[in-house]
This record gives sequence, structure tokens and C-alpha cells, in this order.
Amino acid sequence: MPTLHIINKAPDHPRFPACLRALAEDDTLVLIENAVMALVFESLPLPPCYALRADVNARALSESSVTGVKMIGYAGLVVLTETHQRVMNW
Amino acid sequence: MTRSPALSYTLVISGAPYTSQAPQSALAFAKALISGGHKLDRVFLYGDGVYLASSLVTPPSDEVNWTQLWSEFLMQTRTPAVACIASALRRGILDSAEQTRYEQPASNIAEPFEMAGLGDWVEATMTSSRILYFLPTD
Repeated sequence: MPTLHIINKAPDHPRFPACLRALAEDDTLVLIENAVMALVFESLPLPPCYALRADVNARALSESSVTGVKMIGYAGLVVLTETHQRVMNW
Repeated sequence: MTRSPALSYTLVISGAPYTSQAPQSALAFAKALISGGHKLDRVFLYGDGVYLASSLVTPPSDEVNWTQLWSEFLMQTRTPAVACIASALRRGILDSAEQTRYEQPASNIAEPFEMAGLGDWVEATMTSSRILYFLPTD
């Protein structure tokens, strides 16, 4: 069963690489809150994932800074929780 | 894409207002899930998240009062909200029953929050379709 992983930790938090390691093939990753700093954290390559637009904008980051990262709003995050029966919050 | 049937959600907030973004993110998500046609079963405050239930929160006038915003939202949507009693008591969040029981000079839980045990959370894990956690960031 694909899992939706939602992470709010900054990329230099130990939970962040732990979350990336836990991602299975069909899983989906969403960056929220401080986790969106990963868009400008070059030492940690990101898999294709989503980032919460409000949190990206709040930190004055560019929405197009990393290819493979799609911007979503809260409505989009709700849709992802609809399509994933399992949600993991990191 | 066909719309999935309505789901029910429990949101657990364990990050405190002003030291984490948890109450803010959870409120935005709560509004979005209701706009999406889903049901918000319950909001559960745990750990430092119980600070959201303090009616004495008094931020400067140019800052957001998260307790007030949450209280208004919960009352408008008639959503039950509970603070974990074990987390709340040790952080100085009391309702009038606990004030009496522990002979404290005041109670301060904000309406419509209530005190409850972890049993409420266990029930939520069995009855809600989805449980989301809004955690501290450190």
C-alpha cells in the first residue's frame, strides 16, 4: 500500500534523511514547513516530490528552484490524503 | 478523475503555538479538508500542543492569536477538540474540574476545548479514516 510521507523537519534535521531512506517505490513525499528549505539545500538530493506552496512562499524560496518538485496548496495536500490510505508524519 | 467519497479526519497537534508552525498548518489543513467535502471528526492536542488551549494566550496586537482563531473555527464547525489531560495538567492548562480536584487558584482552558485522556485518541485511530499529526519542528 503506497504511503504518503509528510515531513516538516528542516533538511539538516536527522529525521529528514531518515524519511528519504524510508520512501518506497510507490510512496509520495510532501515537504511542508521547514522541510521546504530542502529546495535550496544542495547537499541532499531530493526525489520527485511535492512542496507546500504557502511554506515555500513564506520562506521567500523560488517555486521553480528544483526540477521534479511540484508545488501544491492545502487543497492539493487534502487530495493526496484522499488517495493514500496510509499517512506518515515525520 | 472521479472524486473519492468523503473521508473523516482526526488532526493531532503536538507543536506549540509561537514555537512551532503546527497550529497554523493544522488550521489551514482543517479548512481545506472541509472545503474538500470531508468531515473533521476531532482535533486532539498532545504534548506542547496543549498550549493552544490556554485562554490566557496574549500575543502582541499585531500578531496572530492562534488560540482565538482555533476557538472560532471549532465553534463555527462544531468540531470537538480535546487536550490530553496528562499533557495539559503538567503544563498548567486546567479546566474547572481539575482546578477543584487539585485545589488550584484558577482554570484557563479556552472554549470549546475539553480535557480528555488518550482513550479519545485511541478511539480516533479506530473511527477516523485518516489521522494527521502536526508535529514540532525540532
